[in-house]
Parts: sequence; structure tokens; C-alpha cells
Amino acid sequence: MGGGREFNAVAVIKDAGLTAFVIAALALPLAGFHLADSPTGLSVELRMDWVGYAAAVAFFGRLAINILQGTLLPRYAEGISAGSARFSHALQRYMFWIGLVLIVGAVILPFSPIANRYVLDLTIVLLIYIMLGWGLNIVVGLAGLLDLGYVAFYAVGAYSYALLATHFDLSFWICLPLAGIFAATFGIILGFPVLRLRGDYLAIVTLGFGEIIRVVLLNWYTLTNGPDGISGIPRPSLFGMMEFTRRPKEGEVAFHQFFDIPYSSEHRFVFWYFLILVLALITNFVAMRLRRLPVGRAWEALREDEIACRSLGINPTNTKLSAFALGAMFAGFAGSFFATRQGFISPESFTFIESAIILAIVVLGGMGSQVGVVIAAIILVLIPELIRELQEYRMLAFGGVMVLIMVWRPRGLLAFREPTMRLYHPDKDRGEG
Amino acid sequence: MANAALLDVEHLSMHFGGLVAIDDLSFVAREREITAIIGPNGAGKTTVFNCLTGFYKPTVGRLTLHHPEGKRYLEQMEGFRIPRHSGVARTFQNIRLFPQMTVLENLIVAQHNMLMKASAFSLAGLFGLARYRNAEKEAVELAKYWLDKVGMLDKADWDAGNLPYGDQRRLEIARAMCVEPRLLCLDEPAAGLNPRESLELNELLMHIRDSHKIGLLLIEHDMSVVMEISDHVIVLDYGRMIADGTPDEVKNDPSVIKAYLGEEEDEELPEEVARDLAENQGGPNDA
Repeated sequence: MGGGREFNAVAVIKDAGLTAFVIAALALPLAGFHLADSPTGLSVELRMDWVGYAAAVAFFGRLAINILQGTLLPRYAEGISAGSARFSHALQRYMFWIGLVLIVGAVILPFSPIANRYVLDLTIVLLIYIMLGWGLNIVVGLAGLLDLGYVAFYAVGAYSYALLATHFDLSFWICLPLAGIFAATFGIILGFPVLRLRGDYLAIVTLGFGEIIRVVLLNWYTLTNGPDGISGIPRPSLFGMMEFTRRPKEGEVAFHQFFDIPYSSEHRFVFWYFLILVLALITNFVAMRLRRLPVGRAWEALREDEIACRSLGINPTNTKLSAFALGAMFAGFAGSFFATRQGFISPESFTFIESAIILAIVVLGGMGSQVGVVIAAIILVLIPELIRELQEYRMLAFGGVMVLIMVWRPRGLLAFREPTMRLYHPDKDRGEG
Repeated sequence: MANAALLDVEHLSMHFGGLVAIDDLSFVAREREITAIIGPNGAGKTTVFNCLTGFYKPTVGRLTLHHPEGKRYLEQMEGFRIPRHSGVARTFQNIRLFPQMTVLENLIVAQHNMLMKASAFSLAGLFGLARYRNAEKEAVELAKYWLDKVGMLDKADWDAGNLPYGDQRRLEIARAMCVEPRLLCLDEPAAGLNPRESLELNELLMHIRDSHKIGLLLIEHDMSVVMEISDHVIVLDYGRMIADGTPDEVKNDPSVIKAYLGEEEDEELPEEVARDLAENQGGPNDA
């Protein structure tokens, strides 16, 4: 068979037929039944033609893939993989400039003509996810601890701010560090019982932890107001000096009055935008910096081989807890920002799907890659926004994009690791291959 | 035999359920000496190492390391404290490097405790204070010294996982030496090396012994290494010590020959067998 590359018409058609059958079986319950209005109320209609289309697309699509793989692709495979390697090398070389362009772009965005309330709102959400991705990257990408309950720390941060601000009337700038400390404490609380666990087992426990936090928030009615959530969360002021309201309280000056410009609700969005941008950049800076310090190298070493770490005198307990606590702290910061931007929070915002999306951002970006997180977050947050017209097929397309990324780059978009220190200039070969 | 005792193993026993992996083992390893532990597969050699480096808690026994600041009882210490507080470093039978990190980074990670202290648990490092920068420079110098010693200075920026097998073995030794140990435990360092690499390894180990004045504990099957460089050989069989002495004494010990080759009825064989033992015992690992 020549390693299965030789073209075999019967096998290819068989394979395509099987695929079409599987798709038809899946499409029958998903698209085959349709609720329609009828004189007696609702009735179920069969849409076998839709199932047929799905099966036909699957059959010919699979056929095309198989034929390409059997004929054209092998001829170009080498070129493609070499091109991909060249592309990733080029990215690696210009990483600094790419980062700089992204940051400069982010700073001038609110003043550019495309900035309106919708764009700002979307980029704020994007920046929250980037910040969460960078925070989780410390835990998953560097320390190699698969955390499926990261959203729990985000929730702790959000609720700490909401409760402290509504009950004790503390300002955002006092609550922000407190929320970070609370979340970090929860990170350590989670960290202790899972110290001995790795991989799948750790993932299950963290998943459970995330759910516990959400269920507690849902049921501890006296504290959290349960499913009704907390509303009327105060908005942040400009470092406690100026509010972003049209009519400030007695004796205070609002932002637009101070600068003597007409009131615009966009001012607040621009402020939020810069607030989350700064928070995210701090996260990035601290993570990048720590990576080059002993603790960061210990995280990476722990990811690579825990037993070797112990034999070198690295305390695995402290190292793991520091990763958990630090990752959780940044989630706490992001959470309190989220609470102040929304003005209302409820356990609905902290479901497992959020953890899954943040983790997907880290994994698709390439574990441990900071720029990768940005690109993956742009893809995962903006694509569902941009393809809103597809309505209910939005998530299908979303899933398709994720599958394509994983097929094209199985180790993530930017899956290379920049050494934390070098003896020689980077262009010297590193024994690849 | 003027060298001071470095490690005292007294009545060490290790049981796993009903299995007795080590049975009442006592020996002494001295400073500036290479002490080899040999024995057939499953004799309990690696278990001894695991007890010494805190991976197992011995069932019975006292493991005393003589440190300038006092005696250290290894059986009472948590594994990760042993390298720092008593200066015992080890390598592994199946190499355990950090494959995705570079060669240099592997050696810097080994100096974690020193750097962690210098960076004031990362705070001084976060703000880039000179104190930390100097400590890091020193760490790189030490790493360069050992890279030079194992002949890998030009590969400092390679990913450790991309190194050839022999280089990985030597890098693991260099990494253990970057802990600046007083006792270096090597678990089959010559396994999988070709004869030329084996010779280089001998020189490296003798250099460590003579220039750095530390004790080495060596598990090895390759008799060309053991007999050439050991000052003292301990033979284990089924967890018990069956011989203890200089390489020549051990080579001619009938119980050792029995353990390796089984009982021989012909009384004339031992000397021939002993020579074979010396020359060919690399056999199991050369394959």
C-alpha cells in the first residue's frame, strides 16, 4: 500500500460513505426535527432534506479530503511544513516588534475613528479574556497544572469587590488589591489538597472546585443574594478624584466638568478600556518577568519533571502554591474589574464554559506563549461576535475554528518556547530536529 | 585510608509490604572516594539511593551524613530539603532532565535555592536589583564551568531533549554538580554509553573526586567503570550486602562470583570467572 498513501478508490468511497452515515445519524436529531406552528399549536415536522444535504456535504467533503491526501498533499506536505516552520521562526524573531505594535495599537485605539461604544465594549471584553488568559498561562502554561476551575477565582474577585463596595462603601482602588488577595487565598486553599495530583486528576478536582464556588454563590442567599445576584455595584472613579457621571454628587467635580468638555458616556468606556489595558499589561509584565526569575524556572522545571525538581532541592509544595496563588490573584483583579464594569453580577457569569474558554485561549495560543494568548483571545472572542449573522450555527462555526487550529498547529498557534537565558546569540543553532 | 567518613549507613532496611528490598545494610562512604554499589538486577541498589535522597522512608535504619555544621539524619528529612541542607545530589537511572528547557537553564534550575535566596523570593529579582543580577551571573559562571568540564559548552543553548544520549547523561551529572553537593549519587551513569564515552566518564568522575574533594556513590553494571575508578566496592544481592572491600578483594570473593554467575561445581573455575567478571560484566547493558 506504500504506507497507505497509494490511491485506492474503493477504500476512499467506503470511507466517505461511512462519514456521510455518521453525519446523517448526527444530523437527524440535530437538524432533522423542526418545531412548526400549526393550527393546533406546535407540531414536529421532519426535515429529511436537511439531513440529506448534511450527508451529501460530508460525503463529498470527505471524498475531496481523501483524494487530496492521496494525490496532491504528499507532494506539497514538505513545502507546507517547511513554510510553517519558517513562518514560526519569523514570528519568533519579530516577537518583540509584534508585541510593541499590539500595545501601541491598543493605546491609540480609543482615539482612532473606528472607536465607538460597541468597539470599545468589545475590546474591553477581549482585554478581560486576554488578562485571564495571561493569568491562567502562569498555572497551565508555565507550571503545567491543568486548571479547569479558573473561573472560580474570577468569581471570588468579582464578589469580593461587589460585596465590599456595596456593604462597606469601599472605593474600587482599595477593593482591587483586596479582591486580588482574597482570590490568591482561595488559590492557596485549592492548592493544598491538590498538591499531589497531576494531569487528569488535578483537572477533575479543579473542575469540582470551580463548581463548588458557583454553587455556594448560588445558595448562600444571605451573603450573595443567590441567583438574583448583586446589583448597584459602584463604578470606579478616576483614582478617587473624579466620577464619570453627568451630575456629580454635591461638592464633587465630574470628569467632564474638570476638563471642561461636553459630557459623553464614552468617557467612562475609554476609562474602563485603559483600566483593563493597564491591568492586563501588569499581568503580562509580572508573568514575563517571573518567568526569567528562579521561581519561574522552577515552575517550568516542575512542569517538565517533578521528581528531578525534588532531587535538586526545589520545594514542590511552595512552587505549586505560588503558581496557583499568583494565577488566582490576577483572576481576582480581572473579576473585580468585571464587577465594576457590569454593575451587576450573578453566578450565571461564572459557569464552567468560562473556564473552558479561558483554557481554550491558553491552549490554542500555545502553552506558555504570551502573544499566542492575545491571538487566540482575538480569535475566540471576536469570531463569535463577527459571525453573529450565522445565529444558531455560530457555535458550530466556533467549534470548527478550534478544530482547524488544532489540526493545523496541534501544539497551539505559537508553540515555541523562548529560553529564559542564553549564552550565545539566538541565531546560533539550537539542535533542532 | 585517612579519608573521613562522609556517609554512615547503619542497619538500613526497606520493606515494601512483604517484600524485603534491603535487609540490614550497613556501610560507610568516605570523602574523596568513589564507593561503588554493584549487584545483579533487583538487588536493591536503586532503593538504597531512593532512601538516601528521601524518595523512600526507610523501614529501619539510620543514614548519617557528616556535614561541617553537624550530623544530618537523612531518613528524617523531607526529600527536597536533602540537597540543600545535607548536600546530597543524585542522577537517575532513566535520565530525568527538563527536556524543553535549554542545557543552560537545566543547570540554572539546579542552583534554585541559592538564586531564590538572592532574589529575596523573587522580589529583588522582580525589580532587577544588583544583588540578584550578581547572583545570576555567578550561577551562569558555575554552569559554564561544568559545561566546559563535560565538553558541552557549545551546546549551552540547545534544548536538553534534543541532545544525544551520551550528552544527556553527562548533562545530568553536570546538573547534579551545580547543586554543589558533598555526596554525589550516580545511578548507572555509564548505561548506554559507548566505550569511548565510558572512558571520558571515568575521567570526569575522577576529576570530581580529586578536584572537588567530595564523595561519590556509584551504582554501575559496567565493570570497566567500576573496577577502574572505585576506591571501595559494595556488593548487594537480594537486598543483603555480600561483599565489601577494594575492587580486587571483591573481584575474587567467591560469594560475589556465586551471586553473579550462580554456583559452580568445578573448583578450578573461580579465577577464570573472576577475570571474565572483570572484563565482560558490562554484558547486560551493552546489548
